[in-house]
Amino acid sequence: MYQFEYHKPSSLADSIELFNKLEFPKYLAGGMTLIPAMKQKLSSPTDLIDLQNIDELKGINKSKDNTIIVGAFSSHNEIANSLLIKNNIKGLSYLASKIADNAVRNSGTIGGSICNADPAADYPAALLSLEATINTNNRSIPAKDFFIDMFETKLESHEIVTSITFPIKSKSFYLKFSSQASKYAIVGMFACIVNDQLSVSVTGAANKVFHLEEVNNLSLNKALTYDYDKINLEKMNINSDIHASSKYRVSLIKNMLPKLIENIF
Amino acid sequence: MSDKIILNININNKEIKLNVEPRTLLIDILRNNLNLTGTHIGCDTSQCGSCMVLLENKCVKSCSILVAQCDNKSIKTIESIGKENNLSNVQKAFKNNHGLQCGFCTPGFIMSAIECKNNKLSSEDEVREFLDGNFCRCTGYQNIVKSITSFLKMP
Repeated sequence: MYQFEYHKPSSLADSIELFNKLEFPKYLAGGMTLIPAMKQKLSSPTDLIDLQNIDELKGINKSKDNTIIVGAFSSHNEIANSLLIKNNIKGLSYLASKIADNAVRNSGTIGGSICNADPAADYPAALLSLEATINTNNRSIPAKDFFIDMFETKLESHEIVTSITFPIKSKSFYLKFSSQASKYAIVGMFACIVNDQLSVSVTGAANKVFHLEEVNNLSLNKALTYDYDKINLEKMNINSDIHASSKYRVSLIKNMLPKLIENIF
Repeated sequence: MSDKIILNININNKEIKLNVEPRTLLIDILRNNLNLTGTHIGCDTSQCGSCMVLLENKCVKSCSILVAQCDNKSIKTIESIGKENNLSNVQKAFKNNHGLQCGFCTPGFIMSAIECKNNKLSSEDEVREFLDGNFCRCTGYQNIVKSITSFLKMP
């Protein structure tokens, strides 16, 4: 590993102050992507600012306005095992339980994952479908505006995601066809019901997560009998890579939809 | 050269003070400085799980975490699990079920087995899914799964 400096501030203000005065710093959450990337010099910050001592980033709570607020430093296993999430947004806890492997889920965090904005990461599908809000140290960003492109988000470089606000959705599900080696999504789809209408988002298939517009305004009854074969994904720029061709991904999306929708209940 | 940092870590129930460069990985300290060479480096890219240790009683791959991240926390390695002449239950289960061949990956599997038990898993399917992050390149997993499910039935 190359040399760098390490800092462990205990407040958000100190973290941001540090970030602004250092040469090329990066915030460190669970480190499950960043540390392996640094070992291979795919990323080479001069300084790491470890956020583990910042209490404002922790905890999973239900708010008065019937939303679940998940602290950015919550690990995937904390989200998978949280009774609050299991009872209120079961699709989200199921999604978290299918990320990578157990050791990664013990350390990796939801905040780190969404800030990294890997196009094959799982959470973006849930955030977009559930219409979650990403809260940072100085503003709130709706999920639909947060993800811009591959590894690119709306965040300013010094900005820190503090929590994610999820509306409670009693019916939701996540279905993923993953790379057997990495467990990253080749296609991952999250579905929930908003105002009696279906809301489906797809991750892993394009440069960023997207809403599956054609099925999004269907009532559940109509969705169950919909002809998914006629969905047109030409405008979505579906990716081809070593894991799957775009044609294969399109076929996955169409063929996974019936199972996804049947499992929402 | 980066400034060294001072850390206090409880490793195998011993309070240890370390003076390390920030770039030091947990696995490097364990193997190179503390002579705890039971934890192995397999892939060094956080895939294989040979370097699995318990951090605050939860599995982490020690090749993918900085020792600085473990300050004021507790680490358990394979050396704390049993002795050659006084095997722990999990080691007995692996021995009785032929749960290893070359043994290189075994310390990692043992640490995962311990978290399996802490998490109160019981079925073979749950164990198989749990072991996703541990690779074995010789026994083909059948006897490892048998070893762990038999360990889970022990008191």
